[in-house]
Amino acid sequence: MPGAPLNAYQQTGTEPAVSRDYVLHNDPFEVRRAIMDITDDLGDARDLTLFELVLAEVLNNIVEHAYAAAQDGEIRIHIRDLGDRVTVQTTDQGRQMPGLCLPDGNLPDLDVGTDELPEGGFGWFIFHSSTLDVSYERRQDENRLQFSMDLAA
Amino acid sequence: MQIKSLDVNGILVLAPQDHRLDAASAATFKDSIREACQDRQGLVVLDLSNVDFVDSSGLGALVASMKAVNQQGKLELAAPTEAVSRLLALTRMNSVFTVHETVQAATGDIRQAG
Repeated sequence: MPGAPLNAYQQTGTEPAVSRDYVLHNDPFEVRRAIMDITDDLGDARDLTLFELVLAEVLNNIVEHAYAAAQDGEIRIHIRDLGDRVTVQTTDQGRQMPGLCLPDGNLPDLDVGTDELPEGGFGWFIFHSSTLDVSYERRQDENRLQFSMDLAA
Repeated sequence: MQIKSLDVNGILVLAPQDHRLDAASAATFKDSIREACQDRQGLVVLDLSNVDFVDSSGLGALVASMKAVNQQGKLELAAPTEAVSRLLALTRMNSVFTVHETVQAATGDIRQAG
């Protein structure tokens, strides 16, 4: 339908949907600032603990892997706040996901000696265990990741 | 990263003063802990009461710090905030770290417990 929004969202609950957009560069301090801005804007009426963590994992992945050594990468974040559910879309022009799909969310093996303990590999586990309606697509040199999370009051 | 250092009954208690242990601070955190614990034997307690947020980069830095300290001594965690406790439980890293509810419980200092 002409003029219809790009994505047709199902509104849940009685809260009116609120959309907000954020733009940042591929810098860990900008990621930190964006996460704090986004959680501030969502307010403190809901438990955002997991949301904040998931958002960090997604943005860190873009900075560390999609943009890797890139000097000046842009990340755009679109937040749609539906009250009891928040939908997030991130867009970047970094490298595509290997195999054009998201990595699995398995926990690394923890049954090892101290020296062999993993220092990474938790991010996608955290992401997959906490999100709903996940989609990833590569479109015209852009990565587009979308997911939702239910937020309890 | 600024880390407060305290000796309690011969136990080194380190309290990071930053509120966020994330991808932006993980590397300097690791360096600061290594520096503070150089050749330190015995128990080192990491007082996490100021740390409101840890992501998987921060979790990796905690693991790296434990590996470094455990060469000579032993690193244990104390006083994690609600968010950090949830991360440790979610990733099952609470089975890898020794986690104390309070610093006093970690140091066994009953004089400070009251």
